[in-house]
Amino acid sequence: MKEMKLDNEIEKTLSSLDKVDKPTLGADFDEALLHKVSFLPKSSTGMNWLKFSAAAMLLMTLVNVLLLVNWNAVDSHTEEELSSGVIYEGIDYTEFE
Amino acid sequence: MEFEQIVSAYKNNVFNTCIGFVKNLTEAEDLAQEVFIEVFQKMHAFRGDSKIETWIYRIAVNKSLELLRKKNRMRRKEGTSAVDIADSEVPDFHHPGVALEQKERASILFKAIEKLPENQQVAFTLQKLEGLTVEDIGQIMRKSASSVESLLFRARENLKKELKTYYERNEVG
Repeated sequence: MKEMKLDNEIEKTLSSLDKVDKPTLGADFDEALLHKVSFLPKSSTGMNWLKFSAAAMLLMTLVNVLLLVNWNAVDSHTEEELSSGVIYEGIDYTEFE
Repeated sequence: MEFEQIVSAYKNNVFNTCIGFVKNLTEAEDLAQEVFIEVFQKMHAFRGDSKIETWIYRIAVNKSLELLRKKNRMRRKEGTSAVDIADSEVPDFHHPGVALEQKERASILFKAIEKLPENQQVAFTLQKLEGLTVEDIGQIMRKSASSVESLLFRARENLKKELKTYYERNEVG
């Protein structure tokens, strides 16, 4: 009997949130929100494009620097080979002397 | 949909969801403001993979859980333990949308919900307070409908145990 009463009480409590009215917010909520929002940047799309562009430019600069470094290395290597009269890529430079 | 329209369409749902988690009207209103500020900042990046209400509910749930975690961390720092449902003190949160005759029971239930694991708490609160379907809850929580059903079942079982302990200590009848 006591057990049944307890189960009944638990079920009643579990269903106490079954019909809850949604509390409503007044117009002052919207006003306060729109005021806060007016200080924020209008659109984040522009900012995203700016970020992407900056990242792309940085990447291009990095690639250019790497290419230049590589070029210089190849250049100095070739000069060394030419001055020592070594055949470079199948061409015997000594025959022109 | 314009931002103002979004706010007026979903503000009460967001507010109600936040109340369900934080159980404080002022904090829930502040949280609702934060939710819509995030909506404003990210609405241009919203790709429409899910319904807009699902996305807004997800932000509301995440913000509410963040606040709860922050509060729990602070409580732990201060050395205060979590509220014990079995305590004889009367639970003090009264949801403004609950009928007068259900207020006491509802506040006992709120205390019990607080003791559930986070996932179960989210599923149960969204179903009870927002009246969302298992499918909608699944989309908000990024879980399948069957996972949500299982979460709801376990939530109910855990709540029964918690309430049983509460009523036994407070002697029903």
